[in-house]
Amino acid sequence: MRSVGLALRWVFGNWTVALGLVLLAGVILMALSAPLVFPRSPTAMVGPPLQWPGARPGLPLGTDAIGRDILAGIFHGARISLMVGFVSVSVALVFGILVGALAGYYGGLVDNILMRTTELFQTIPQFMLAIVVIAVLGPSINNIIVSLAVVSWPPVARLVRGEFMVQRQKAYVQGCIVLGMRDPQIIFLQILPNAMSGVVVMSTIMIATAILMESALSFLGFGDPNVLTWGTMIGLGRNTMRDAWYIMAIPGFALLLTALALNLVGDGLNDLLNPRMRSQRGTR
Amino acid sequence: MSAAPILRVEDLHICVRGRPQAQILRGISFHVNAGETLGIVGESGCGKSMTSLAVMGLLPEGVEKTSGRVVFRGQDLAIDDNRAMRKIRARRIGMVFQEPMAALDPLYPVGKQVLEVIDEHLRLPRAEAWERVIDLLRRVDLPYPERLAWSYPGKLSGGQLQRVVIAMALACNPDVLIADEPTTALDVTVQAQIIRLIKALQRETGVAVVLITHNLGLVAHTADRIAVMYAGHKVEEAPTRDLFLTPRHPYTVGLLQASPNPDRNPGSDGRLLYEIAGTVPSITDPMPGCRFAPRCVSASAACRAAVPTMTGAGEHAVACFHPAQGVLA
Amino acid sequence: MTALLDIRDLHVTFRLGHGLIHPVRGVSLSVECGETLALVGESGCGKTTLARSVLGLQSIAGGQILFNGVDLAGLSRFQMRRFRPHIQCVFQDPFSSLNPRKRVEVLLREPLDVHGVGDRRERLRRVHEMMELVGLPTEWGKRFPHEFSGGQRQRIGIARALILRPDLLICDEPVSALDVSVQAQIINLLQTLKKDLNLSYLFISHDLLLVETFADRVAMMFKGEIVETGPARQVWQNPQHDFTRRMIDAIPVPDVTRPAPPAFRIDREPQ
Repeated sequence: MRSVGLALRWVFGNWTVALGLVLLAGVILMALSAPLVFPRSPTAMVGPPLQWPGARPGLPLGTDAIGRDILAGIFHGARISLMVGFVSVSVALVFGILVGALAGYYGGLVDNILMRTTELFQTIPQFMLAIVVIAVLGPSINNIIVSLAVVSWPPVARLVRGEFMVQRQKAYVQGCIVLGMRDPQIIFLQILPNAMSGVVVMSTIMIATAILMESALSFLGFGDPNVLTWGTMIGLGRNTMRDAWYIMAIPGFALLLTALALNLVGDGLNDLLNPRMRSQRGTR
Repeated sequence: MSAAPILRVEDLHICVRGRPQAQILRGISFHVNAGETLGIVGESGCGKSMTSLAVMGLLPEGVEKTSGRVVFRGQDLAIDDNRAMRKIRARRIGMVFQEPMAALDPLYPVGKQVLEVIDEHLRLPRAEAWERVIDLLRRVDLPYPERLAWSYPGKLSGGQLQRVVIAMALACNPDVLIADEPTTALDVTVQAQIIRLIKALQRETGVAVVLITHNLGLVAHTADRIAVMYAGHKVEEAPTRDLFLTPRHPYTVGLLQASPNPDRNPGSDGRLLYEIAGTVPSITDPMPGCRFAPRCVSASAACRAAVPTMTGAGEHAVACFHPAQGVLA
Repeated sequence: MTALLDIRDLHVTFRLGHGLIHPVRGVSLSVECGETLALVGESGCGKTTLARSVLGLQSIAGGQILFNGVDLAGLSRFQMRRFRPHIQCVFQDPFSSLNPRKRVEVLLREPLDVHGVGDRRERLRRVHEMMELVGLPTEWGKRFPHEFSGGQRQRIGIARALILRPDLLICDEPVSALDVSVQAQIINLLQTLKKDLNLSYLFISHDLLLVETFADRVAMMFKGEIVETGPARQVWQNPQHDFTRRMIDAIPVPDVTRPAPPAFRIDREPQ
């Protein structure tokens, strides 16, 4: 309990982290409340096209080229963006942690095979790989999640491997072996909790990256045609960019804020979980 | 041997920055004369390393001096002014740490690093400076100094690295050498070589040595005088022989008895080694009395009420209300 | 007395880059039942590698490690598990040898969990019993390792190693990271426990002066080989091997009535 209090006091002592958390909470709230606030589909036409924000009551952010409510799009888009980010990153984490843990713990041949495979994935540019995966599987929201997971697990594996190689040398791991503990227990219950702080920090940044990549894919037309995302909205605004730039700018701004929020939170977690910071608070 | 102390520390108080109740040093005073070796003995957390850092003006971030002064050759040292201290460090006061690698850069040959110290403090022509580097490496008994000067730290053993650090510390003929646990990371045979080297250099140059260590055996055979520290206080100071034969502070008595000694038989309770019960108090512990009182066998109400001051006859001083009398069995 | 641990002609080799290093070169030594054998040597002499191979943490290149007559070196990892409870270990570094995220009670219970000893209540009872035995108040069971001092952590490490009631305890420099006064506490504790729990120790140390006070026998290790063994007092007073003599000549005894160690004298030629 004391450590929770400490963490809270620390969060509010750092305004950047507090800002990040508030922004993130806002985006999450938008995503959760979207079906309640805008029960109608965000793709429904609700008014005349190309209404500037504030031009018409009931449509505070205006409408796009075919008369869809932009505010509703932002709310529903938040749902998709966060969902894509969280799910793809979770899948990447599970896979990356597994590969990294096995490679770092066993070393030798296992490490060689797993890490050469990881490098194979890393040599292909992330975005190209994502496009190829979607081109093969077809553009659906599930496949986008798969493609994002496929491109984002290698850094996790490398990070976890490094952390495991350090922890593996520590006497407490040797002690567990001497006690006769089995490997899965040592890997997942003893070492993994000590190797997670870096992964936690990395995952917030990964979510931001995944959200940006999903938007980029949607913008380029590789998105799911049945789902309206922020990326799709930006993409659709391209044609009217000169007269109605707000159609691109509003979802772009939402994207910016979300990515910023996640990065701020990630920075904060980094400071909080950094071993040097912890030793300054006397908990080593 | 001159009588005037070359380095004097007076009533030094150091605390955690912004937290005056978290005191690391609670009034430390000592002095060292030219050509003399002062041993500072204490266990982890007693403040002995902080003392050496303070004298060198190397206090870590988050720690500040609240009062007291460091006097070098009759002049006050501005130990919280890093720029002023740079001139004193190495030039007048040399320092050797426990971890030789902490003082060396793994990316440069060791000779270059010794040269850097000379360049910073003495204005010598290139060739002459390099000659001096080789000479220094030879004086610390390193084999083939011309070749070894071009070796990287990673290629040398722990004992050799410590020799290089000693060469760096002595590069500018300092008046005082502060050695903070210089042999703790080394094997016992290498430790003997390093100690012998320091003693030989001291005899040759007359440098005053402050040897900071936890090892009582080491100071028994190297120091002229010994100061014992406990939890930020100096609790006893005496010439080496007096301290070992007639220790007066109960902590000193305990330390001596806890140290393994092949001539002593097991205690009457069958215990092989004497234990000092309990642990060192935390620096933030607001204790009105003697900080050793909770662990002390002869503590009384007076000990818990007030901090004893250093008192004593001649050179043997002790900070205790109930000092031990007589000879240690 | 019978030999509890009997090491015969043990060799360990490592591959390092393209070369092969040979840290243990044909070591034979035995630990009798109820004995404390101190294995003394300088850093890099192979003493820790030797301990690691007895614990099954290091594969060996040749020789036998007989424990109660069974060759541990020939066992598979699975077969080794049956012998694990009989040979336990206390490590040097009290900071890295305990998982920082586990409470003391959990750390002490884990060995019992792993080997399925007793039920929940029985395990808790044994944890508390062990804590008392090593001098830790049982109400500290809910604390994390970082809340303890070095000496207290070493007590936790000892409790964790002894809770399975092993026959042989391998102590790898258990006090070299501790202060003199705390060192005395731990050495005394180990001596008391040895009597109460009928243990045998293989005590690995660089400190001949310390082990001389409590070890039954001393084995001196130098460059991967045992160069001298004998009763502790005898080795200290009458060393036979040149390495032992050099080491003793360098040890400063904290006693001003003794002459300074010969290796400290500056009038002597360096060796």
